[in-house]
Amino acid sequence: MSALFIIATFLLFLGMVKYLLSLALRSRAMFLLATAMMFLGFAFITAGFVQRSMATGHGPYTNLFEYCVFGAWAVCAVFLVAEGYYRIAPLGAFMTPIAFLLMLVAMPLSPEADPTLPVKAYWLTLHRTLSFLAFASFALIFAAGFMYLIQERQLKRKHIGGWYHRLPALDLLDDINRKGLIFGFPIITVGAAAAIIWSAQNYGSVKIEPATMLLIAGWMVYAAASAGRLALGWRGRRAARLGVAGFCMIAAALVAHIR
Amino acid sequence: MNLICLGVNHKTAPVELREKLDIPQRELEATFAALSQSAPEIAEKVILSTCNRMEIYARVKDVEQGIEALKSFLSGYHEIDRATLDTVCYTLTLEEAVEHLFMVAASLDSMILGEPQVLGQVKDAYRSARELRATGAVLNRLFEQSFTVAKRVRTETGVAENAVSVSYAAVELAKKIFGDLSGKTALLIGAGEMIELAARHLVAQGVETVLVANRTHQRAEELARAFNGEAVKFESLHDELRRCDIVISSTGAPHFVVRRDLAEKVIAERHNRPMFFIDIAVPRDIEPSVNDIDNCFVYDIDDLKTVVEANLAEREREAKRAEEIVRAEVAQFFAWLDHLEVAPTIVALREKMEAIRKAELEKTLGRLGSLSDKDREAIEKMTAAMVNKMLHTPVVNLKKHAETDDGFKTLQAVRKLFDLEG
Repeated sequence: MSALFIIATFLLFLGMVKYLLSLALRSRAMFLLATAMMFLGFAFITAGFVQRSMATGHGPYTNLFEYCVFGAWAVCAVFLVAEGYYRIAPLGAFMTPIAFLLMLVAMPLSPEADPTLPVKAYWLTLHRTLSFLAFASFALIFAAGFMYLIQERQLKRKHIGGWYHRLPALDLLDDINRKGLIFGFPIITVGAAAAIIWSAQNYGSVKIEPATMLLIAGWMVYAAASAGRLALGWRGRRAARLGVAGFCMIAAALVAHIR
Repeated sequence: MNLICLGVNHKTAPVELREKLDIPQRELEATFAALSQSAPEIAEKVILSTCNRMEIYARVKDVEQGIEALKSFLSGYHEIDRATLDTVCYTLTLEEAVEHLFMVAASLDSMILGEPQVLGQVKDAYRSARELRATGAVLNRLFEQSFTVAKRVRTETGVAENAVSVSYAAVELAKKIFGDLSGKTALLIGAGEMIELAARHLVAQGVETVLVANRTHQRAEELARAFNGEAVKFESLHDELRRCDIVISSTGAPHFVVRRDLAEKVIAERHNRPMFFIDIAVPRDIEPSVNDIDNCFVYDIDDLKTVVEANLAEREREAKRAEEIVRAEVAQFFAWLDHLEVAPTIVALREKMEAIRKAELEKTLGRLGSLSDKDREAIEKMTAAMVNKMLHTPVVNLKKHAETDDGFKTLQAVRKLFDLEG
């Protein structure tokens, strides 16, 4: 692992800890520090990719190591945009651990390219880029959904605790779910189509592995959530639950892939 | 130099006594005049008089004398028995007095923790005293800093966050559900003081449309007029509910006004857009199981009280953190106060001059180069003597001046003139 990625991992770790502390202590200063760490971490991953691309001559699409780091990069990017847009202080505490974990998972993996996969393939590159952007927006939906479920529980049970005071309004969290789906679902759908086209072109058929099954299941959850939202007015707790469930499946697919 | 605070508050004195000790704004000028006459040795003073407290902050030479002077003034001015005054008055000195003022300004000493009015009252008290020329450098700095403390506590802790009255709690809950309340519609079922108050808060927070339904339509129209809203027929409640985000109900009805099956129908018609029911009626108007419907939230009067209690507890937790800010600020104030002591000022002045002398000496000697050691020594001695002689008169005068009441001003002037801050 290049030094830039190691530094980035460390920065993401600091950012994560500071977000958790800022949530616990409700400290504005800690929050600003955390955001600065995430910005730096993001910059270091970007720099790491530039360095690596110059050395290898291809983008971060060739092996599991690159997938994980690219996933972390996308989560950071979506997170920083969402934080700037929504200004929800606790968001970081729920989303940055995902980015950090991805970097951590990448650490022991071999950075060598998988020789069986083509380095340059138009459909495959499209598939991977879109999939990771969608993954990051689903991470955002997951974080918002998690917060929604906690806050909704507090409000329904009339159990007014620390979470009630710290977490934002339900409507705002539901809005993240909606926007995240609008952004993420079409992207992952196009991405999946690209993968099918590529697979059909190269193998003449579509390979189905357990990880692929989980991905398909995840896609179906998001499809249901999107359709339910549009047609049936699904929102609130149901939308939040689907968002959390979909992400769990995708994360499981990732774990299955690594093993 | 000493700072004292002498006073009574809602914890030490009953309201009858606080009433007697109250010094209204319009009398302040006379009071300060009387105080200056009865205790001319008190150089600076500020009188803070609110419905919960009456406190005098003063800079005095001697603590015991100062307290005695203030007490005898108060008992004479308000015609209160001295023994009574002794039992209810608290006296705080130096760090304690400063900390107390910071706590008061930051609303950490208030009856309801974090209530914001007290800061305005402290500001008014200080401005009046300043206008009447009752304050000087020390109290000016002290009070200005207390405003900073209050602001820090407000922005850095949650002491002033979270509603501590039932009607505000309802608004706060609405904001936790809807986020922004602008453009939302509220329906008032029934009329009454409580419902009016809650509606007023909601409108202040941006609720756009207010609908009023009441058994007697005329009363509904009156209330609707007050909020620029519309009166709706009690019988058409079912149809009106559909466009309402927030429902506040307070009727005298012996049965539920909104039942579960109705709420279920309405929420489906609204495509699950959330609804918040505030039920302040006893017996209740909203069937409690409406709360079990997705996207419906029902709070009755007891629930709201629970929220208020939770919020108060949260404020108390935050107050602990606020006290740390106060302690840090007290330390900072005393660091500043040390500046006003004569000794450190003289030391700083000497150090500055010595630094200039050394720097210039080095420059000159470096340029001359070919001097014998003896010559060097002579020049060294001459410059030192010059600095000493030049500083002699100012230092003697400074020491003399510092003893007087206006001494701080002179010290401050010297510090400013020679840039001795920091």
